[in-house]
Amino acid sequence: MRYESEPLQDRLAAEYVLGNLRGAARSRLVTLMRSDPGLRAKVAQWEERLFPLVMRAPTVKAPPRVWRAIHARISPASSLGFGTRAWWRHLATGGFAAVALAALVYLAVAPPREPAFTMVAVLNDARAQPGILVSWTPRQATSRQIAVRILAHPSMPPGTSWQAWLVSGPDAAPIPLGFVTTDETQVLEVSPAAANALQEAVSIGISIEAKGGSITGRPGGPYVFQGPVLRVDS
Amino acid sequence: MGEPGRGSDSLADLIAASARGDERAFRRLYRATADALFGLALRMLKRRDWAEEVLQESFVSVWRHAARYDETKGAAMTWLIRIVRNQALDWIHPSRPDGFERVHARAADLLGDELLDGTGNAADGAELIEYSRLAERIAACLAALDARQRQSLVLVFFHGLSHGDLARHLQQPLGTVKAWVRRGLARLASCLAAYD
Repeated sequence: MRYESEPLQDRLAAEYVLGNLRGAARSRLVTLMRSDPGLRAKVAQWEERLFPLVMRAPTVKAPPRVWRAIHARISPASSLGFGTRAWWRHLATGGFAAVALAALVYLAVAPPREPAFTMVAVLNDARAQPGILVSWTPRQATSRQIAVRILAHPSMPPGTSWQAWLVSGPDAAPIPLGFVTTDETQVLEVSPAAANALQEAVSIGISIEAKGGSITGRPGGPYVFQGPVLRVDS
Repeated sequence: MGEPGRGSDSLADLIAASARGDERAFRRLYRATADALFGLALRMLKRRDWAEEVLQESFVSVWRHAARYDETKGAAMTWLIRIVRNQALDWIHPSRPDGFERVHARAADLLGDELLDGTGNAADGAELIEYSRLAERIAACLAALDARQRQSLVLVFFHGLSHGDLARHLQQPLGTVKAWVRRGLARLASCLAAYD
């Protein structure tokens, strides 16, 4: 690839800063930057453009153990080094077998933490525009309810119903979840069978059916909206 | 201690003092920036243990290479963000398991909405507040993008998705998502240039 042309340099600098260059391509650009002040300047310009965005996202409190680990590694006084790396090295050599044993015992007896997560699917249309958001918490799943939010208003031809389907794998038959209306927020009451399948949900799709829904028990046409189900830890 | 926000209190000065081996200055630098940087690492990696490791490696690197920071070449926060992002991107090297698993983000986040509504974090310290102001234009320009382009840029920048991850996540051909990223960046650049 030729790196000399300016528009190409600019594009590579942008993709590098965005984080899209990986592996060998990333290393190659880093090497080029060392000998090319023009490329370095372009990278710096893109960093100025994009990096302040970081400040618009929420901060997360760093746990105190991170500072302790850093301090142990930078401070000459603490040659023992309780930084995680050094700790694991000791563990590997057996020196800290007692610590490992204690950790295992703790893991075995500690009560499992209350699951705090939400399953979320952002359903995109055929042009990959996000249109519908589907989500549920474990508690909602138990009470057989899932939340639907319409992001971009779909136009529903009269005489049609929009049916939501749960897909649990490439070979599994889609399970009907219910009907989606044009209301901005809605709650679908799902069948016990669908509620049981929520745990295995891989993706959610929406098909257009004749009024009243599919009579075959399967989607009558392609999904007009679909998206993968993702676990969001809270 | 100097006046707040000035003299010995600027991040650049704290980095310079760290380069001279001043642990107290380094500690202050950490306190002022760690939470924002941890938030960044967590977003990119989606696992607390990995994010903690990346934050640790980043600050050890800051301590060791503090002398390399050149105030005339950019904001201190830009330098710190670069170090954390590089560590995080190394962490999600292609040899690591599929990136698709990592997209455990909040829904608003996946759509990039959160970045646009200006409710971002409460940065404390005049310098960080000033730095976050720089993001206003960028957010305005992001908001002006086509939703697909914006979503692609946000997923790559904040969630560390590669082109391949992006294609899988958006269920589109690789060439299509690459074009969205490329056009998104080009439009962002021309929008920002209009402000200058």
